[in-house]
Amino acid sequence: MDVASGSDDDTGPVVGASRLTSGRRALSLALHEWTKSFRMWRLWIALGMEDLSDRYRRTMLGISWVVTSFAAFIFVYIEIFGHGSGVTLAEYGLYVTIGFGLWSFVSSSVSNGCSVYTSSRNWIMGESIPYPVFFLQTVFRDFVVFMMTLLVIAAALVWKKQVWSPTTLWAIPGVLAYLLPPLWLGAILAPLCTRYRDVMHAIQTAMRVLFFATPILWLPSQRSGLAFIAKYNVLTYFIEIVRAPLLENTFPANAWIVVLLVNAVGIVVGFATYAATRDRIVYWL
Amino acid sequence: MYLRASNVSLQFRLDGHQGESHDFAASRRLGGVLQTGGRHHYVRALDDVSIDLRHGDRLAVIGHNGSGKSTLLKVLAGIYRPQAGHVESDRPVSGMFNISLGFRSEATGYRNIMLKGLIAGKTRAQIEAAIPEIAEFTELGPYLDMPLRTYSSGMAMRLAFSVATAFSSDILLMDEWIGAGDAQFREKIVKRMTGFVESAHILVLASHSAQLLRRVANRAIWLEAGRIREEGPVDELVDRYEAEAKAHARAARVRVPIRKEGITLNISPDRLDGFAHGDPGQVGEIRWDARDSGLDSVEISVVGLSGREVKFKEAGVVGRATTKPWLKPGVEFRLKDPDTGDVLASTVVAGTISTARKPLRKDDVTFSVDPSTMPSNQQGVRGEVRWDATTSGADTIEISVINTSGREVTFFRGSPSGSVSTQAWLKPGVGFRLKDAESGEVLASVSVAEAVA
Repeated sequence: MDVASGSDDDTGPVVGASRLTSGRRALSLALHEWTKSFRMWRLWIALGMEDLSDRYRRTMLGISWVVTSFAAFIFVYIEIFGHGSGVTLAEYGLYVTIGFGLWSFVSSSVSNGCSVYTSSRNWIMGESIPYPVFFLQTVFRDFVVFMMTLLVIAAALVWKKQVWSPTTLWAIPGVLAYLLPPLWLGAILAPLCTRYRDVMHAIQTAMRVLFFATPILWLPSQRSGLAFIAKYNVLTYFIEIVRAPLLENTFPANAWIVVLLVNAVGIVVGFATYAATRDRIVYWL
Repeated sequence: MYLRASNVSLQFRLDGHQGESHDFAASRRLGGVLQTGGRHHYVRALDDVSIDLRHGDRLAVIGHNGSGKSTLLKVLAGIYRPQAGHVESDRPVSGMFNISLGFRSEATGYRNIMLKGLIAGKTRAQIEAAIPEIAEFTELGPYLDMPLRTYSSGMAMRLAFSVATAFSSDILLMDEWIGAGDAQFREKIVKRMTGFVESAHILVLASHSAQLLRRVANRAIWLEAGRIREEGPVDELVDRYEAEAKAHARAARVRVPIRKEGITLNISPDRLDGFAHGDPGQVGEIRWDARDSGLDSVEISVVGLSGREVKFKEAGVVGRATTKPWLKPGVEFRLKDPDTGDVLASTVVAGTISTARKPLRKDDVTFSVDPSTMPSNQQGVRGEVRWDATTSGADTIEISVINTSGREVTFFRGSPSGSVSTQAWLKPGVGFRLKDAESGEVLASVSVAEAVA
C-alpha cells in the first residue's frame, strides 16, 4: 500500500488537492524529529541493548562471541593465506586484522541500515516514536559489536613493526568517523529497501563484490590491477584513515578529505531522503 | 488540554490491482470508499473527519468493521500522518492498539515497562518509581519477570493498559481489544477510565461493545465509510446504531417461504421383492427436482434400517446420484433445506425382507495375504491382508489369525471388502480365516507359505 500524495505521477483523487507536506514543512519536521531523537538517547540505548541481549540470550559467552569468532577467523585465515603474501606474517596479519575488522562494521552497517524500518515495524505501527530513534538504535548496537572487534585489533597491534608515535593516535578520530555513515546511509537505504524489497538483496550482492575491490585481503603493492580499481572505491579511504596511522604512523590527508566530503554529501542526501519518504514508510511496511 | 483533528482525510493506495475491476457494491457498508485515479486504485479510509475534544471528554467511536475507526485512532496517535487536514494536541497522546505492536516479546514484563516509560519520555528514576503501582494494578506478580511471549493475551492486555495509563495518560486512545481481559479486570479498567472524568483526561475508545461504551464514554461519533455519519451523546447514538444493526440483521433473515409442492424425489429401484436377510444390498439411482421450493441448494440424507440418518449429498435443486450397493427394503431418502433442516420430501424403498437366511455363497470370495511366501529363518515381517466377500451375502465379516502354535485369535471385524495391515508377525505357517461374523461360517482361508530356498 502507498499513500496517494506521493510522487508526481500519483495524481490520484487527492483529498482537498492540498499536498500536505510541502517541501519546506517536511524538512523542518524531519529536523525536529532528528534533534528530538538524539535527545531520546536513553530509549535508543535501551532498544539497542535489547537487540544485543536478544541475539545472545541464553548463551554463556554472550557478546564475547564477537571477539571469539572474529579472532578465530583471522587466525585461521592468516595461517592459510598469510604465507607468500610478500611481507612478513606479522605485518600481513596486522594488515588483514585491521582491514577485515573495519570491513565487518561497514558491511553490517549497510545491511542493518537497509532493514531499519522493516525490523522496527512493530514500533512504527504501534507507537508514535520519531523514526531516527531506530537509526540511532541500529548504529549504537552495531558500534557496540564493532568495539568488540576493536579489542581484537588492539591485541593484534603486538605485531606492529614500527615504534609507536603520536601520529598513531589519528586512528582514534578515524574510528569515530565510522559513526556517521551508518546514519545517513541508513536514511537513504532503509526507505528504498522498505519500498522495493529486492534492493536489500541487490545491495548485499554489491557488497560482496565491493569487498574484493577494497584493499583488505590483498596489498596494493602486490596487486596493481586491483589497486587501480580501489582508487575509485570510497571504502579504500575509509579503511585508510584507521589503518595508515596504525601500520605506518602516517596521517593520510587525502583519505581524510575523501571521507569528510563523502560524509558531507551523505548527510545532505540522507536527510533529504528521510524527509521525502518519512510519511509514507508506515504504508510500505 | 485538547485533542483536535481538523478536516482529516487519508487514503491508501492499492498496489497490484491495475486493470482489474472489482465489484465492491456488495460490500458497500464495509471498508472505505474505493476510487480510481490515474493508474491506481485508492481506498479513502478517512474523509474530512473533524473532532474537537477537551478535558473530560470521553469519545466513543462506533461503526462497522472497516469504517475507519482504527485508522482514525492511529491518525490521532500520530502513527499515520493524514494527507489533508491536521491533528493537534497540547499533551502527549498514548494509544493502545494491537497487542502485538509496541512491545518486545523476548523482553520481560519489567523490561517492557521500562521501554514504554522511556518512549513516554520519562527518566529511569521516574519509571522505577512508577513500577510498584503498575505491578500492583496488573496483578501479574512474578510473571513480570518472564518474557512477554509467555503471556496470554489477557495478561498482555493487563500490562499494556496499566503501562498506558501510568505514563502520559492525559490523552488515551484505545482500540477494540479491551475485551481480552477477564471480567474482573474489565471492571478495573472501567473504574479507572471513569475515574478519568475527575482528573480531566481525554479518552477515545473504539469498540463494538455497546455496554462498555455506554458506561465509559459521554460523547460518540458514528463512522461510516470513513466519514462521520452522526455525532452526539453516547446513549442516543449507540441506540440508533444498534437499532440499525438489528434492522439489517432482520432484513437478512427474511426469506422467501419454502414451498413443498411440486418437489419430486424418486429412487429406482423403488421396490426390492424377495429380498432375504443376508442378501447384499443393491445399487440404485436417486433423482430429485426441488426447483419449486425457492431454495438454492438441497441436502439429501439417508436413513438406514437402524434408524440412523446420514447426509448423502448436498447439491443443486435438480439432480441425480447413484448409490453404492446398500439399497435394501426400508431404506429412506430425505430431501431437506440445508439451512433449516426442514424435510421437504421423502421416499422409502419398498419391499420386505424375509427372515429366512439365504445360504452364504463362497464362490466369488477373494482372500489374500501379502507376502504369501517367505523363508522360514526370517524374522516376522509386516504385511497386508485383502479380501472381497461382497458377493457372499454377509453383512459383516470377521478375520481371525491362526498363529504357528495353532491358536486362533480374532484379528478384524468389519466391512465385507477391504484390506488391513499387520504388525511384524507374519511368518511361514501363520494362517488367516475369513468368516461370516454372524454365523461364524468360514468363507475363505489363506496362509503364509515357506519359500523354497
